[in-house]
Amino acid sequence: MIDQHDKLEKRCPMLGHPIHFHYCRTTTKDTPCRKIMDCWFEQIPIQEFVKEHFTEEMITAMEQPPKPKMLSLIELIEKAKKSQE
Amino acid sequence: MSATKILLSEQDMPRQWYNLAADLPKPPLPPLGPDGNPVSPEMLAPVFPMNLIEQEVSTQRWIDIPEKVLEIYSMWRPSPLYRAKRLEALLDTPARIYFKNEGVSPAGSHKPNTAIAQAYYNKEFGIKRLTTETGAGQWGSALSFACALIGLECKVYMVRISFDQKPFRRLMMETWGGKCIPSPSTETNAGRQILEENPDTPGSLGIAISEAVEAAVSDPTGETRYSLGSVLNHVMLHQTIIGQETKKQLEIAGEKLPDVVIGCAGGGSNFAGLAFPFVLDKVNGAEIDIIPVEPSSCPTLTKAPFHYDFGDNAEMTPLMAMHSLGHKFVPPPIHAGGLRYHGMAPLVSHAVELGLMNPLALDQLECYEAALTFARTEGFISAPETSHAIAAAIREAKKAKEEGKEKVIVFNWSGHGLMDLTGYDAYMRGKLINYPLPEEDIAKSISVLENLPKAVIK
Repeated sequence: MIDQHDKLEKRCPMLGHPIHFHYCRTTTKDTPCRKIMDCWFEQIPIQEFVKEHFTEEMITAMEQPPKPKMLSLIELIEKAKKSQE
Repeated sequence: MSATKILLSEQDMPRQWYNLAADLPKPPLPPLGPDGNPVSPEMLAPVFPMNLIEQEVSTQRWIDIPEKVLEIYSMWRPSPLYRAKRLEALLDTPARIYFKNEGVSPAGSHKPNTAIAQAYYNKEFGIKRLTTETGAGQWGSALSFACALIGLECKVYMVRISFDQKPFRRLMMETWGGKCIPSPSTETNAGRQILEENPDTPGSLGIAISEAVEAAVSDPTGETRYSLGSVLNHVMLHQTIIGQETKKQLEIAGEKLPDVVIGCAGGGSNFAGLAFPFVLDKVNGAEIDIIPVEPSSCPTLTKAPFHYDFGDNAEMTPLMAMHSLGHKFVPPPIHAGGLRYHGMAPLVSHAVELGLMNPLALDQLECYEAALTFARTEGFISAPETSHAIAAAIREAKKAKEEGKEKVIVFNWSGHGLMDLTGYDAYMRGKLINYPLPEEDIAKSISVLENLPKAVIK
């Protein structure tokens, strides 16, 4: 069951406060949080969980590292401009 | 009895920020766009005022701190420099250990040093409001505080789950007059699109950043800009007041230049704030060991090559010169969230490449142990990121004992950890493990850089 760990709680290093596992597996529409394996490997068999419930594409997307902020900003500026057109 | 706190008067506060870019023996390499050309200031103009962009690309050595900024700094600056006498006694070291306490600001960390400056320059440029994003609210509260004092509106897009679960930081922001909006919101196209697809979404930092940028870019009056609290050159510039005060305080304490300068290195701003003014002395011939500390589980400065790399796994963002384990690198577990980057701030990377700094990687157990030792001797409970600097200072003090040398060690105590005690809980309950990155993993990760241009400093 995909919701078996949902009520487990842990501090999120990105947000800076405790959250439930449910948030980690549903952070974005199609993929879990990219840090889900870093954060949860100590408490649950997270690799097996991810392999069981997510596709290869989702896992690949999840493993993307964070972008340097100035560079991601340029991308966001262009995206925001296009959304206003 | 020698002083424990070395204090400066407000009149002794430094009047200029120091720009390391002016004194590097070789100029920093520019970030490259997808087309291979340098990123231009105009590309950033929709989100930053030109006076801050000018600071971002400036090579002027000293930049005057405006009187208004100095006046606000004086509410908590100059921050005290402490002599860690009890820690020295415990370690039985001949070293003299000093730490710069940046936790005395109203927001509890070094972040207001740049929040105040950024708010000021935006106001000078004619901007009426700033936007930003926040999770638990540390940067959002620092910027709200700054906007209240400068006289700007502040709109903070706070991740919805944090908005619901962290009312105290939200209340801090609102107390300072910031408008805190749960993200995703109906105020932006990015937010509306997400809500349409999933009305019950708890949000994410990525969505909140998109909303904050869009709010700045789409304001038809042109009176809104976006604010960022880490990584960029102008952010590090504003933090250099830390190191300049420290120099004066060490002189009062009867010290000359320190032998060792230490800071934790993530986005780079708190490390740069203390270290960059001392790098100037090193460039001029002083013998100072300047140590950025990073986690051994995510080593960039200590293990990775200096190379042009993409900022992202999808290879969409511009190429940028940095110490990188490769854009496909996924860091293993570590609990000091602010230290997790696959590439270091370019200016710090460049200084390391020039041999001006000697990076050190430490594991998280050593860092938490050091933080506990520090709390039980000096009293202050440190932010997890700050604990890296403490651990390095303790190492250096032990080394001084072994060598029988009276070294002067100074580190940046960048903030308190009173809202971050769950990490301590995990450590004290034995729930943390170390994860040094295996050499084969590093080699595999770096292999993705082979077809990208090498960052050659001419």
